[in-house]
Amino acid sequence: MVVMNNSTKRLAREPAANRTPFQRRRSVTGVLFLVPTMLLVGVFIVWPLIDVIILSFYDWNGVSTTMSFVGLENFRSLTDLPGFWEMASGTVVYAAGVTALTVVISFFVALGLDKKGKGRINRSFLRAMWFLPCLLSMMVVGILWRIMYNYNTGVINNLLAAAGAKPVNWLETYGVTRWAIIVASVWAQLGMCVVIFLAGLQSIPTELYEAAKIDGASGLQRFTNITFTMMAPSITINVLTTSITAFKMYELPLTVSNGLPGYHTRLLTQKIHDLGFKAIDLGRGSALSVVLIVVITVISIVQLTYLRRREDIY
Amino acid sequence: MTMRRLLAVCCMLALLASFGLGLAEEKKPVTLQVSIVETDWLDAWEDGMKPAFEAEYPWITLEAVSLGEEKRIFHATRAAANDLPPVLQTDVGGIYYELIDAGRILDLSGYEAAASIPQSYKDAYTYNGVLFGLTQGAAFDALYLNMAILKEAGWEAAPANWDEFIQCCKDVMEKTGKAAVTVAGAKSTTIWMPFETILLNVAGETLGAGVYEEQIRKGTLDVSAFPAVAERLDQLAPYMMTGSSQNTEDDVTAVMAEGTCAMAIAGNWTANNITNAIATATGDIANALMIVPPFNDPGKKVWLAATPESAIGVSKVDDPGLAEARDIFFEWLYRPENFKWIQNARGTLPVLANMTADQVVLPDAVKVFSAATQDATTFSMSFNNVTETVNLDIQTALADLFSGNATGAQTVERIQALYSADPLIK
Repeated sequence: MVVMNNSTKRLAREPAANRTPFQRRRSVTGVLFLVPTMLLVGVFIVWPLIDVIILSFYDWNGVSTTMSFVGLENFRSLTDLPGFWEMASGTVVYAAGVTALTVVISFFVALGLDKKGKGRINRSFLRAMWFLPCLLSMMVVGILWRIMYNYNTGVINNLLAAAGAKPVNWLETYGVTRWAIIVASVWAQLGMCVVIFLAGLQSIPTELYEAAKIDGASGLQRFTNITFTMMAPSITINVLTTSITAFKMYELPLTVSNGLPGYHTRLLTQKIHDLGFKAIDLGRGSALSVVLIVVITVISIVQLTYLRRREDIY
Repeated sequence: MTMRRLLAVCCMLALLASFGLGLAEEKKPVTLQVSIVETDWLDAWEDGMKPAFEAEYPWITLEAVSLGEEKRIFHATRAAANDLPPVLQTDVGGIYYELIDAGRILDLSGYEAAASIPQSYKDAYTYNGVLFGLTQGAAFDALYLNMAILKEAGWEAAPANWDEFIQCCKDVMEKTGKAAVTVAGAKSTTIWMPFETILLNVAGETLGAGVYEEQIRKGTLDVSAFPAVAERLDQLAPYMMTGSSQNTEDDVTAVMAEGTCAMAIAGNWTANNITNAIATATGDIANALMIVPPFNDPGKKVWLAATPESAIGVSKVDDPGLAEARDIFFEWLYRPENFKWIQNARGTLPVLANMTADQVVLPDAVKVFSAATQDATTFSMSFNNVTETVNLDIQTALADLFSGNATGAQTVERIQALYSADPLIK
């Protein structure tokens, strides 16, 4: 978030001709500082993005020297792909599930970690433990969970067997596999949300709690009216970043279940890869990428508008 | 005097000529990227082939790239960057046909190595008149058996036909409590095998050799015209080990090494791994048996799917030094004394016509299998005839079948729809 103080606001308003040499030098220095980042963003994000949008209107295999313009045909034919709607709805369910569970669980974990008291385990140690999965690559996380979910030798079914329960076919059962992947994703992303929530919790002035206590507010009232409301910016950040990450997720479902059973856990990102690099159909792969970008953008704007309004209320 | 002068001039010319030749022999060092090495012959590459080649041609350094990666994706990415490795694996269809059309994968007809490959294999790797790959071997579907488990289930010999095979699966599960059969479902080539072997043995007599391939190629094969295919898929599915739809080939090897499954349907290229895994599980290599899948009706002959394996080809390079190194290596690779490294490490059936008997060292199980393939009627594996898109969707349909999420009839219906989905058929 860019915070503008009075002098920068004034600087932004003033015409360039009226600025002092010092102010002009400061503007140039600022722009120079931005140049490396703008170059990197331009080369690695903006340019490929434009390229993908252009490609989505062409039929091209990535190798041929000729590309044929097909208009919107690549977009139209997406729905002809076997399992397209199952993949699309699966992506939405996955993203919604991961976002909701990650944000809610991490919020309560952060509350628990924020508490002080005698006899508690060292908070820094616990924070590090919760954050640890974030340091692993998604491929590693996927392989770990795949091993744990293995029907015959996985630790989860071994524990179930030890408890006298029947083994579950985690990776080949409709309904179960999707949730198995959501759980793995939540585990992998929880740590980052916990850190953001902890930072938010620690920025709440203790005076607010003391004043509320003196006014006779109960513990629940202090939580809902102070903690929860003051955490609005942290919730906004966590909901946004987690949902965007979930929509873009590729490696984890691929490594855990290979998109099976059926198209049940095959996210649109995996289909983009299959189209682009296995079927060498870069046009349709790009078209699907563009659709996903639009979906993510729309959902992010809606989330941001709603959550920002909530922030403004308080 | 004149003679002495003439002699001196000749000596000087000879000296200059030899100096010049010496300079010519001073080759500029070249690093040659090869995208051919597979994990199953990595040891043979590192310990044998690479050092042997570099000793013979000291100015050429070999660099293996794309190890363990999916080759098609790797090549697509490198092709997009106009940076194809000079020596690379090639396959039928997909990006390789595009690269041939673009003149970036070259014709191998002029190479000496091409003469040692049987014509039928060269035909399979010829597109628009361009021979674009020399195959590494012949690939067949195979059934691997852990005879120790089968004996425990009351089977002293391997099942000889479909009915016996299903009865054997039933006996293994009921009498030993172990899984009957598994397959590498995560790989489209291998999950295709049980389906195609059933289809061939059901439809083979009716269609006859050649017609099946032709109908697959044109997308006109009507699988639903053979109801026994769906019935047999339904018979097989309950005996498939839980988790098979997610198995990689390494997983299958691991399962067989643990001794928790009696049989595996897999390609002959994993023969060494699986037979050694069965030896690990039972303590005796004699318990490992590899047979042509007995999916034939009692009293009928067995039908078998076969295909040339991934081939090796060359790409166009602009640097003459690199092009020379590429050609030297390619010819060197297909000399029998060098090619045997790949051949024997993988345990595949010999493909080079000029390979001598002492150069072929196959596991006993593979030798028996090799002889049995001579008696089977061989079809071209239809896996190679459909596009990657269709392959992936058929893989998904078969994974649903073997994980108990679809019936044989539903699977056949889905596959039929994909077969018929022109223009997806190549």
